[in-house]
Amino acid sequence: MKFVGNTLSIVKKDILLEFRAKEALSIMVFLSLLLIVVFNLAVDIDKDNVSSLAPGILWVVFAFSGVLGMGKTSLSEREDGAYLNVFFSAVSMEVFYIAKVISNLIFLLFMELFTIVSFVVLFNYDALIKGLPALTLPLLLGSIGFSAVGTLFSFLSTGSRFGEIILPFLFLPVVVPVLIAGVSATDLILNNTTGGALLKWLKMLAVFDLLYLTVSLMLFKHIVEE
Amino acid sequence: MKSFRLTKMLLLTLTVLFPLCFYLIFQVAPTERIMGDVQRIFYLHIALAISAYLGFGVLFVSSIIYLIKKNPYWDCLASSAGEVGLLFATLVLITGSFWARPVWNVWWTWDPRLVSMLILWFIYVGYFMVRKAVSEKSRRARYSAIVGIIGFLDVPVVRLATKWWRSIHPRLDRQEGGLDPLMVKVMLVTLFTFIVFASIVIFIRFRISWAEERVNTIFNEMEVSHG
Amino acid sequence: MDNLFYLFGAYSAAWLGVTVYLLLNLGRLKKIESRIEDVDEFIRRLNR
Repeated sequence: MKFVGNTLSIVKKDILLEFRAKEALSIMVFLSLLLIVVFNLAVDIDKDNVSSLAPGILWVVFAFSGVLGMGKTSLSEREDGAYLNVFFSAVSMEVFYIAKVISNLIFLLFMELFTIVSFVVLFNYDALIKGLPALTLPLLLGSIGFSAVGTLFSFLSTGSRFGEIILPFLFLPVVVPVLIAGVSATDLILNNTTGGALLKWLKMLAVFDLLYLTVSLMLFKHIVEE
Repeated sequence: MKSFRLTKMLLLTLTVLFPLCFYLIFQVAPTERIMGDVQRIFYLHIALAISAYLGFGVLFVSSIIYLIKKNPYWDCLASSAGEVGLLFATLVLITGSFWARPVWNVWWTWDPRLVSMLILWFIYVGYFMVRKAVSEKSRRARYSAIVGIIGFLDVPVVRLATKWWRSIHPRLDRQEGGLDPLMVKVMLVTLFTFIVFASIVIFIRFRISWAEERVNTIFNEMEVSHG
Repeated sequence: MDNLFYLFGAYSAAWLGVTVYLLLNLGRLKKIESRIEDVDEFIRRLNR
């Protein structure tokens, strides 16, 4: 029970701080908006191709905005030296990692919701809103995967000389399965396909999440240990 | 003494095993009916790919041992194996391209095997980026070990994801009949040669970086004590 | 006949890569040897 309580208190602190400063969230939200606009200028999205392009564009936006936002949250953590306090306090590194994964997950989901709404508004793509209930599961599973890997790697990269610059180079190749599974699942849902094919991709996302949460949980203490 | 034996083994591989492989590949192995002589790239290509995986596997195992024992020895071995693995992976992509062009009429195709090798290549480039980006020794070792472990675990997941992904967007059907038994034999000899060669190169690389590590430590100690 | 170009290309690319890598390591070895000689020299001077 103490584990849960400690975790939740860190998550609460992160969210309160974030909603006061709005640093990571504003970065994520603005980048996602910017990326959508850039995509539109680059590929000329219209009524005919929007349904085939939407899944890919959305997940690329999620990945890029997410990786930048997670880099920012771990950077502010390092700058405040707050994680060092954790190191000397009673809270274990495992609790700290789980708390960070949860708060990053909340920021990611917030950004994804914002991205989807702006996508619907900018491209008049109502099918996306209709599909939203079904999209919840792939979005949630995909974001857990992003957060599990991103939290580990963002603390790793902010501890290096180059800072967060190397984060995308580590993050993107590793989350390729999440991107593939997320895009495929979204594609199936938007085209009203359910059942076996969809389930297969959700299973892959779940396996990815489980694998990387467990392994990162074991590895995280090696990042901070000095 | 030990390194002398290693050099001898390297010379032996280069002068005996490799010529033997060449002889087998170009003279003994039958010419493939459809692809023709280009098919002979196959032996080199597969052997390189297995050697690359060998390098990454050694990197994975020594990274785990490093995180448990915290002995710089394992970090040296991990980075050496990773370097050799990355070299072979690069060569796999290049030889694959030379094969794809005459056979499928493209330099590159988004086949699951090709995509997963490319993703793997990116992951290990990231591994060496981390090593460049962290200057403090024990931290560099810990950080790169984490990337090495996470990266290797990604291999089967990426492979499965790309395979399923291809099954919805089929682009290139490839017909692959069974291999001629003689081809299999030639393949096995080539494979053996390359695994021996890769292990020797990994070990040579390891001995060099381990020597560097120790000499640098001695140097630093002397500087501290004698100015 | 055209095919032989690709066959030749693949094998030479692989050998070029391996050879360059081995030469690179030969260079590293030379550097280490000279470093070791420096250390030797230093120790000899200390003993004198």
